[in-house]
Amino acid sequence: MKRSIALGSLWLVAAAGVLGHQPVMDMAPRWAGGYGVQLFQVHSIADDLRHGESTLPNPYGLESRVDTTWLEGVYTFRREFRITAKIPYVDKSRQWLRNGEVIRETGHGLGDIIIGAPLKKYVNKKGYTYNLSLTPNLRLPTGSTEDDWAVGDGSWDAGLSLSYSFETPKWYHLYDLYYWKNGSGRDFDHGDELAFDANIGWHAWHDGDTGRGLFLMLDIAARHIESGKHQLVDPAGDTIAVGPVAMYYHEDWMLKIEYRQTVYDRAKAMRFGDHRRLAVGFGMTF
Amino acid sequence: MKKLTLLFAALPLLTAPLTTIADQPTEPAVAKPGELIVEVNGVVCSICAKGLQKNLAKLDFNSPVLSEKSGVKIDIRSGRLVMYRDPKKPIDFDGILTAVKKGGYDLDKLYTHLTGSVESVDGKWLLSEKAGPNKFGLANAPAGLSKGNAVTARVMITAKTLAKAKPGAVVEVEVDEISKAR
Repeated sequence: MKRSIALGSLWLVAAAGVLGHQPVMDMAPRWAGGYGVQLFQVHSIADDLRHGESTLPNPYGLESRVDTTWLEGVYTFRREFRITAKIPYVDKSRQWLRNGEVIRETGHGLGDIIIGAPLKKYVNKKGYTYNLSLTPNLRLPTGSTEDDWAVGDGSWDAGLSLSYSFETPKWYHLYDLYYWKNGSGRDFDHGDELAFDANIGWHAWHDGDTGRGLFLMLDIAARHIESGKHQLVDPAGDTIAVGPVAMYYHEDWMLKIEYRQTVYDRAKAMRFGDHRRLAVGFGMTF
Repeated sequence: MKKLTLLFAALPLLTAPLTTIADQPTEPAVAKPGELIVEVNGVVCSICAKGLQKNLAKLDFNSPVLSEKSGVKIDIRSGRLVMYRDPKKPIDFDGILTAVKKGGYDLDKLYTHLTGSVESVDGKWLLSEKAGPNKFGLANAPAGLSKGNAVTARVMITAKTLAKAKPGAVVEVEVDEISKAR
């Protein structure tokens, strides 16, 4: 019954818009005094131009590339309360048109650090477990605003995530509804974001003797981005991206690989298409 | 776009029935001599239960065996953790409850194998372990046995029983199987 209420609530909220984000490690560590670290490398690239739902010609070969390395950590005080930290290092470049000329912009360095405090309500039953999670987040203005294509906008941003995950020995589901309220930046502002992520996973293999196993998941991510201010390229619009995720684990470490491809993209103004994304992560819990 | 949004928003409802298949067995566990089987609600993933495994391994009566690094083995298909206990040491039931709770889960049942003798005190049957200080109250009178009989038994203890038990009191167990020792 409680599960139905939780799912129903998420459905109601999700129907209003949609967007998403994912906790550092949702599944572990759930034990008091447990902690974990994860290194996550995300490579994304876009070489198409969008306006509305149309793809525009790209005679100048404009493209955008963003590589982000995330160092993520989590500490669990007790199963109901964790603290998470995500530290990004960004290296990015893009070509765009300014006054009819192709310009190249780059940016690199420490990005905006995100601190989160997930509050979780676990329900453990025979054969399954589920939890409802409410996570306030704060994005600190640690990213440099100096580069041509600045890594950060110099603003304090606040986020709130509502997520629900359900696990059995064979299935794993995570639904995460997320909102970022972006503060005023120094020279430009990022717009607010609303997102919804869904991970629908199958525990394909588990070897109890060695503690090894494999999760295969389908990741679905929808985002709605508002227009910011004074941005050379306005990322505003709606996107839906899907892709496979594979996670191999052995005892208390895990390796994750994910790929995401856009299946729907509506740009408010001319911009790059939603980036194709390949990510590799390695995490450990203690 | 509206259709896509609706489809996406309905995903939790569409996929929820898949996850209601809770495929863990309901039959009682069969503890072998030396084993203590800890049945825990919600254990469906071995990475997630690492903390629980470590907490149980720290308990004083835990007796690691060579084949297992921590002496506690997780079976996610049954939601059970198997540990080996030193019969010379008292079972720390409060420690087990705390270990499970702090591990992020909820205890359901314990199963163990006992070797000792039965006696009747004030109309209640007790089983005293031969090798150590552990004594258990038997919820049901053992048929065909009399005081002083040496027995082997497989017993079950529920989390509810442990929650009700007073500190230092003899814990009552439900007997799955009991027979005279050969």
